[in-house]
Amino acid sequence: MRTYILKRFGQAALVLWAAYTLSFLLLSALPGDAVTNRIQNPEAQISPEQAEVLLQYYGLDRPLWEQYLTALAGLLHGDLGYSLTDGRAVTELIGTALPSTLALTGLALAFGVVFALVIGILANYAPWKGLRDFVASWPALFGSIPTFVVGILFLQFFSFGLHLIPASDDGSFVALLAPAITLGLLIAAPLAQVFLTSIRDTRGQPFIHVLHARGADERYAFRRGVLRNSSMPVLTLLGLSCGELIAGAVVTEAVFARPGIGQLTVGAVSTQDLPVLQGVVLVATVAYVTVNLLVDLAYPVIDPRILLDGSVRRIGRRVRRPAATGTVRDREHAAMPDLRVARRIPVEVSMP
Amino acid sequence: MPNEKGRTLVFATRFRRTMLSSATVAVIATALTACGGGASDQPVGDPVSGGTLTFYDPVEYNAWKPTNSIWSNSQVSNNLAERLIWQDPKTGEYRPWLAESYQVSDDHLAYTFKLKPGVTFSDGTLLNAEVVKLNFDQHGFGNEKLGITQDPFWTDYAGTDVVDDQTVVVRLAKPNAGFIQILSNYRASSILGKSLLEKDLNGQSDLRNWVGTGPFVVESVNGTTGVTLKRRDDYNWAPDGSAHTGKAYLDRIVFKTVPEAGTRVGALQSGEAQIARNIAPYDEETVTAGGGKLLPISVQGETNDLTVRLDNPASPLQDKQVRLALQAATDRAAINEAVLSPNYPIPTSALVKGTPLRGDSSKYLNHDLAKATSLLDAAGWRPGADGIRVEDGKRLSIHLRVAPYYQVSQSVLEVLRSQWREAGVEIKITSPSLTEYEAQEQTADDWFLTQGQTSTAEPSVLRTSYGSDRQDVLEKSPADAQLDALLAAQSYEFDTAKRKAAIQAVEDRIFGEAYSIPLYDETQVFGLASNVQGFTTESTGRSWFYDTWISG
Repeated sequence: MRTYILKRFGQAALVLWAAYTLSFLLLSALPGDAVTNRIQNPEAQISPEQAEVLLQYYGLDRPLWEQYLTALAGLLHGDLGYSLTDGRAVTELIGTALPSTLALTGLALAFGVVFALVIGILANYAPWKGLRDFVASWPALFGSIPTFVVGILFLQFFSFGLHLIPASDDGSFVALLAPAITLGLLIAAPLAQVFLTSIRDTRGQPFIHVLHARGADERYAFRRGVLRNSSMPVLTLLGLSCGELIAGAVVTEAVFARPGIGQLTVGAVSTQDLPVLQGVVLVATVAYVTVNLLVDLAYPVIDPRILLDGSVRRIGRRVRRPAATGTVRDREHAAMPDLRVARRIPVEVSMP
Repeated sequence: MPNEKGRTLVFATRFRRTMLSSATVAVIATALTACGGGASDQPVGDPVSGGTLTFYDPVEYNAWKPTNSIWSNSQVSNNLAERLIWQDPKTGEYRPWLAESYQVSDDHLAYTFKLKPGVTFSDGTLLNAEVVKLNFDQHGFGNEKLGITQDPFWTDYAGTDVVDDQTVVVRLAKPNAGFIQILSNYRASSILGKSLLEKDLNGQSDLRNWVGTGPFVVESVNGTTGVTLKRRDDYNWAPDGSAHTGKAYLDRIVFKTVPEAGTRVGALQSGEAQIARNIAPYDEETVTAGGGKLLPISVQGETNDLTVRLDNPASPLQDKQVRLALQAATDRAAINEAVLSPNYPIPTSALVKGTPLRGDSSKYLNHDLAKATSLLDAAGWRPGADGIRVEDGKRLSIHLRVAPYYQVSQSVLEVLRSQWREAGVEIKITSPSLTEYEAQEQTADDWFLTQGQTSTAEPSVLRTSYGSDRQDVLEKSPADAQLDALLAAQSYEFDTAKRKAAIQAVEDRIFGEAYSIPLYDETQVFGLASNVQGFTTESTGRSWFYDTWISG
């Protein structure tokens, strides 16, 4: 387990450095930068000699490698430099914007997971086939509606129409609900889609039939077999949807006028504010890496076989086995159902 | 005007405005009948003190240093910092503000100001001659060590002498009839406190460090998207033209960036915001239908036009006849009808309605399709197979880039495209992002026309734009010497009537050569809730909340 964790941490650090360096190079390769844009803007009216003063002040007259090394050295000291359009320290700008975005994405993630769970379960266990099919079509619907449309509709009905929620962020929890639901819908769509098919697949597995043959009811089978087995792909996707969250936050924050990382990014992109963008890339990468690290660390908890020798077999093809067995069985035995019944079968459902 | 792209991301935009050396009359001529700019909202009933006003603006805030910022920031900071001289937005007259009186030497090279006594900055320090000198020196000379650039408004600045605590003499190397206007203008002459001026560019760009003499002070700054100002209770030196004296009415003003146009209009209706800036023409009816008021303010200075750029010898617009034809093919009334609103005046001059001493050039700006076609025929451009004119195998096709600074750019250009098409001229429209736009401006070889304007409530704004030693928008080589001479002449003309004639001569030259194709008069449209009273702006549409109050 320790090597596994160390390896994952090493990878995470490497990903961070690579993202920082790559974004630095890419952003530098773009034509123009924030200061040059300011100088060229007709509004600025800056003469070429005066432009030199600005470029020197911001250190943009130095060679690229020197700028990169300075930035990297600063980064190790926790200093991300100053914004070229705002003049404030990047750490401060991100510090003010981050709490709002974390609240939004955190709540959206919770909503997303709840939506996915409800849809996944309803689509598989609802009493009528018509209802099941109807619910199963929701993910495709919400997956194809752009976030900003959902957001604008929300505003139209709940804010301008019913005056239930403020149209722009006023710091209250109520103001957070609508954007969080909007963003939650965005990430719930793929999660729900995967979850419901995953449940469907797992329910078709032989070991579930055996459970039923032993007299377990649906609820018991779901709790003891289906849930755990069908949650692995969802977990993987959850790590990936972190990226969706960050991207979706940009649009959602613009629609609901929330001062967060998303709005900061839009501003920084449009003015090519390199230090701020670098900071945002860094924060996004940290978030992404952290979430995926957590997901990686959660795998073995759900599926102990992952730690055995690094060879993970296809999820959903497996048979329940006690985690304690230290060896992997031969392939021809793998298909044979393990007929041992889980503990604590209620007495009344044992054989007549 | 900041444009908004509600479709995808909303880009922070900048207002293309400059206020360079401009020229007005040092001695006020009350005979001036300039009006229209800086309209204000007529208050009803007795002013009420107190309350919070919320103001929604589409653009995110940038760094705050006035000489190195964007126009939309000044919606906030114009209420924090003041000038020695106040310009009446309605009449163009100058009145005392932080200076109680001033004198100009006979050679127009020395301006002596007597400061108002008892004026204090928000940190409690006194306004004195030394602080004024410090401000002007930073503008006139810049400060390399602090990263402060020299301010182009202050060309020909020779220095400021402190005579005594309340008296300063500002000296120029060359006379400039527009210098008083510069001293009245937010960007070029706001008087800020000593502690702020000692900071470097980043320090001066942080609004929380600001120390001014204005009726409001900064209470809090929220990232790049929000600012809260609170009233200063010991304020008592409002400009002479104000509706009241003493402190302001409002307790607080909350400024907030709300990029989405629909959200701003909706918030106005629901009472969440009391003022929203940049109401799009198509949203105007929604505002009035919801019980709100519209306050259109002409932004004094140049009209929003297509300015010819002549740096490429291969440009079909090198031919004056072609330029005159395009002028005649442009139907400004139809543009206004189609995509603007009656709040946007139709251009009849190179300057916006309300700008002092503006000329009358309506005779150059008539729509006349027959004239356009015959001019193009005579110039050798014949209609080709698809109706677009051709000469020597070259199509008469012009690439226009939508200027990212204005809200209505794209729709205006689309209407223009159909108008020019009738004369057999093709327009190709692209909308590059702000940075792409600015990069292409430097490098593209098919940049024949530039959309935009420069704003100052002063006719010498034309010199700022067209002067070959200034912005040189024409990029003509060799430069148009006659135009340059006319532009310089009006700067040294201190007699009002003569100066008006000099401005008309400049306009005659500009339109005689068809250097500029005006599209519409640059206008700021504010949406006001019905309970907002006495909201005004200075001459180029910057908010001034001193007289504003909220009725119960």
